[in-house]
Amino acid sequence: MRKLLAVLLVSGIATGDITLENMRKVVSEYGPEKKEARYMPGEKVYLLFDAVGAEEKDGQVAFILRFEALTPSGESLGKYDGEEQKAADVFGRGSIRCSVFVGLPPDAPAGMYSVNVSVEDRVGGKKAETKVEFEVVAPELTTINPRLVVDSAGENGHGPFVADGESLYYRFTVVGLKTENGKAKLSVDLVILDGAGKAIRTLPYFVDTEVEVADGLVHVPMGIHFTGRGKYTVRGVVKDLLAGKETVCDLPVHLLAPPK
Amino acid sequence: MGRAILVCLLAAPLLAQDLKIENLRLMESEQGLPKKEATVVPGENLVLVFDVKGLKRDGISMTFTLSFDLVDPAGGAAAHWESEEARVVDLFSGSTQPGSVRYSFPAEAMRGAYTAKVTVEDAATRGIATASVPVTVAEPRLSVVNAGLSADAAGQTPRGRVLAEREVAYVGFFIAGLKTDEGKARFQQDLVILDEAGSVVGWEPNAVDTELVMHAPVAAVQNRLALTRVGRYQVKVVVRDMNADGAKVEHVFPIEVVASPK
Repeated sequence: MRKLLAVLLVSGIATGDITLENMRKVVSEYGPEKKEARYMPGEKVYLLFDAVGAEEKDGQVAFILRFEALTPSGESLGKYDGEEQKAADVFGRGSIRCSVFVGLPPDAPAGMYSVNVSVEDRVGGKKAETKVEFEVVAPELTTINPRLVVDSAGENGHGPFVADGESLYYRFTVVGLKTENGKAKLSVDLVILDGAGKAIRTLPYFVDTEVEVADGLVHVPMGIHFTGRGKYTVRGVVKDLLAGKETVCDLPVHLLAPPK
Repeated sequence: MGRAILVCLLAAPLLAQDLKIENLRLMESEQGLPKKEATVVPGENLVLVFDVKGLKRDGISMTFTLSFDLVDPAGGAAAHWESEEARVVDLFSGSTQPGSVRYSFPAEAMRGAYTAKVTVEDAATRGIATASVPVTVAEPRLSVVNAGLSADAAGQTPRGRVLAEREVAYVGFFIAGLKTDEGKARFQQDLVILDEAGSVVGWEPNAVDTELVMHAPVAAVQNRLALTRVGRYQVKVVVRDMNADGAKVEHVFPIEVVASPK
């Protein structure tokens, strides 16, 4: 497996059996829940869940997160054996908040994939496991993994809450573009929708742009200088000029006042 | 009466186009708190934040240059900087464009009263607006300065103080005025999280007895922070100078954790 990432955020302590709860698929690390059940080759699978009920010792929980992603034929895409971690979160009682990120290969064949996840409570000596299934389909023109990022390469993500004056990138990936000699031709408009869903701005960001397509993916970063307050949706409208097709990619953002 | 109304109607759009710099203020960091005093220490970043109003629009874009001048206590030019022509796009129907300038005072900066001036020139109209603010460079003293959140571990990208659940951010700051022993500072720093009532809900000693060879007048510190519960909190940084009998200094700033949109 090309890329497996895991993040553990611990928020505290409970007692009794450990269970994995509130499992959900989201479009990116801080993004909303994924509406489409299917995944594209090259897409990152983001899973969020809570491990509830870890016991404490000396004011800390200790646990290990493990997961393995499997292809439809049962072949391992990659395995993550986490090391023991102590509760490092600065908040009191609660549950262990876990994130699992799995990057699908760009050539992933269609079919039902799965991720086996386990969390071991090293203090209580208990373990909880679950299996998450998801379908990968053949590439077609669509956009995946929309997120706000700090840098155009997408190394550092940013949540949906933005302050007046922050400059970020709205970044997503386009799959399924028609190519000629390894190149696609596309236009991308950046559209801002207000809280009522009305388009208030349209900025042609990439116009009749020819791009090399590596591994079937084209990453689109669009710089945005955020000003003011309010709830908005940032939308990328992608036109595949060789195929004469169009797709859109939405991400909600909230421009909030700083806390006092 | 008819004439008076006519004047008002004409004046409104004309006034709206007057180029202005408003609300020029000294900040701890671009998205941090305003500085309580207009005083900095050598090594500290002077962070100026302001609002620009009245740039002429070409559709939804505006073009301008920004310059910064710093006049030292002797009336000389301590710094001059001028940007290339920049284009901003108003994507959110804002009438105000936020701007910022950052300048690092060197260790040998002349002590005393400076004037920091910001100038914006509208490339479309050649209109100019300026604003200035006094700032004093004081002798180094034990202090936590330039505190705020950044989106990257290197502290290069200041970010707002509202986070999503689980979002990773970094608490960054400089420690100024550390006493050195043979060129080395020795300090402890704790990151404490307080709830709205002021109760400690978390504590993390991140750099116990850190020894640092001081190549700069300030020590840069970054702490990783990942918050999982919705609420309003105070981030308190506590620093002890172990070369000065544990002399202690604190800095507090508020943050908020908000549930992510579904």
